[in-house]
Amino acid sequence: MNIFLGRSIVRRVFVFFLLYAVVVLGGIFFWYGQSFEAVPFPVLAGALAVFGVYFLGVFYHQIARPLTRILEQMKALLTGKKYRRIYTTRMDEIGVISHFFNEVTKSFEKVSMDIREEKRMMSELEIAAALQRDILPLKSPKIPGLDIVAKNRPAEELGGDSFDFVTVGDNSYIYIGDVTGHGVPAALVMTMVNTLIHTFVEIFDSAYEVVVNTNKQLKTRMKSTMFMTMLLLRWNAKEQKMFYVGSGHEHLVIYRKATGKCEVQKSGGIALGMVPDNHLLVKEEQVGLDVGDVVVLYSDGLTEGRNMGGQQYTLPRLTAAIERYAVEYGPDGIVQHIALDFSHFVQDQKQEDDVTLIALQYVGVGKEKLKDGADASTQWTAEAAAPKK
Amino acid sequence: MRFAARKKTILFYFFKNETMNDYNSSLHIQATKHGQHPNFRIISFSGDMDQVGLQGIRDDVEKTEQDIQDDEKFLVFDFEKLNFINSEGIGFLLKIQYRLLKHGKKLVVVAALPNVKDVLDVVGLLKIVDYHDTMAAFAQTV
Repeated sequence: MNIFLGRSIVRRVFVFFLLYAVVVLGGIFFWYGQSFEAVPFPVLAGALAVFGVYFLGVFYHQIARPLTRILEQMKALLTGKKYRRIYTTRMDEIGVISHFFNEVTKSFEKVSMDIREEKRMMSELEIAAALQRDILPLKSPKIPGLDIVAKNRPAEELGGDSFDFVTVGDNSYIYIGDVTGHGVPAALVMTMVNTLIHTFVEIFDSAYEVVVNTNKQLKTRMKSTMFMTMLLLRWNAKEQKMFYVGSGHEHLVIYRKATGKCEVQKSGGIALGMVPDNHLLVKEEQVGLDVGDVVVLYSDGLTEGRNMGGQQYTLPRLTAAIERYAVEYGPDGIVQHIALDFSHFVQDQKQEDDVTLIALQYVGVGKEKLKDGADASTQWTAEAAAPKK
Repeated sequence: MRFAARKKTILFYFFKNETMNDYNSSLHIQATKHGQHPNFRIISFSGDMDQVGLQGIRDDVEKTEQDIQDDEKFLVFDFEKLNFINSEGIGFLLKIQYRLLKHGKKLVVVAALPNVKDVLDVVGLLKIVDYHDTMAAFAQTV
């Protein structure tokens, strides 16, 4: 019976109506000798009345009332009013219409949530971009004894690069950093680190103390999966000595004027935010520099930048470029040519990470060459060649 | 149960089941069970450990982590077939290490490919997570 009636209420009502008509009315017909004229009017009227009440009752209860409820919610949806899901376990036409309504409203809700989410994310990215812009220096600094050029190329969506320069007394600090993740959380970490470094350089006179204390303060305020790699240089203008503390960042590249070759040193340490106390895992090392040597800091957005063929720029390509250009150019020329080189390499391939490149040449105090002007801007430019030495 | 199955059929007839899509995970894992090794559990990874890959395996790794018994002191991540790891993957390892340390267990990484080992080394993760070049080298230490 169930297979025959299936999941259709309309069919069920129709079939029962037919059955009733056949069984009851047929029974009355046969009872009264197969003649309708013999059937007393009250009996016939009674049978029809019972049938009418039953049929109307079933129709109202099983079809009309549920349909009305569904239509109420549909009207509410169409007129922008509050609507509710329709709960039913029915599998017939009413059930199908109810489930259809629920699925349609679910899709609407998802789409409108997606639109709201996208709007919110766009405004979150704008906030993060503004936070990042606020801390990145607009110009390369003037530091006694050094010619410094820094360039930064932000990714289309926010990457995590940050860098800055601070001079306190005889010490000038230069750092480059790369925080995991994107968006506002990454921008906040960048801002925190920048503030902590600016604060601790006033209190301590070693890059080691700055890094250890920055890490301690940062770890307590950061998500357990976030971290920031960093390389912090300390240049003491009085002693004309360079020191550095690595915190899990890319290698330190030193171009030696005497040999015309680059030395690549692991910067060592452990990224900020990985452990609550890193005092045994980082150390301050000295870099011996001769006049003319160039220290190059970079972020992995440069060495891992990909071209259309999927090849990465790589560290060997970078060191080859430094060796090529350092012969003729100072840090401004080196950076501008590498920027050009990189842009030619990646072409239109979208870069997903920020690219930062900082070159510092030890020239001797009072022999600094770089003046203010367009060269001093930290904006990545891939245009015409820089002036030669 | 039959009605629930029928309901799904009806719904599917009208609307494609939203869990059906073209997404294929880029990271797969295989985990050993308690008792297979004396006092450690191994999870072998193959593929790329990035945000997309992690989405597919996070829950399974957590399940294995929660299943670790008192007599098992180490959770070993076998990276022999892991091609790639980025900062998302490193963040994931950090989280696992911290959770394990809280329960007196440790995370160990073995057999990473040179490019993967390099990433872990440069960022300093190998200063807080034990590393061995081979599973055998690790097994000898326990």
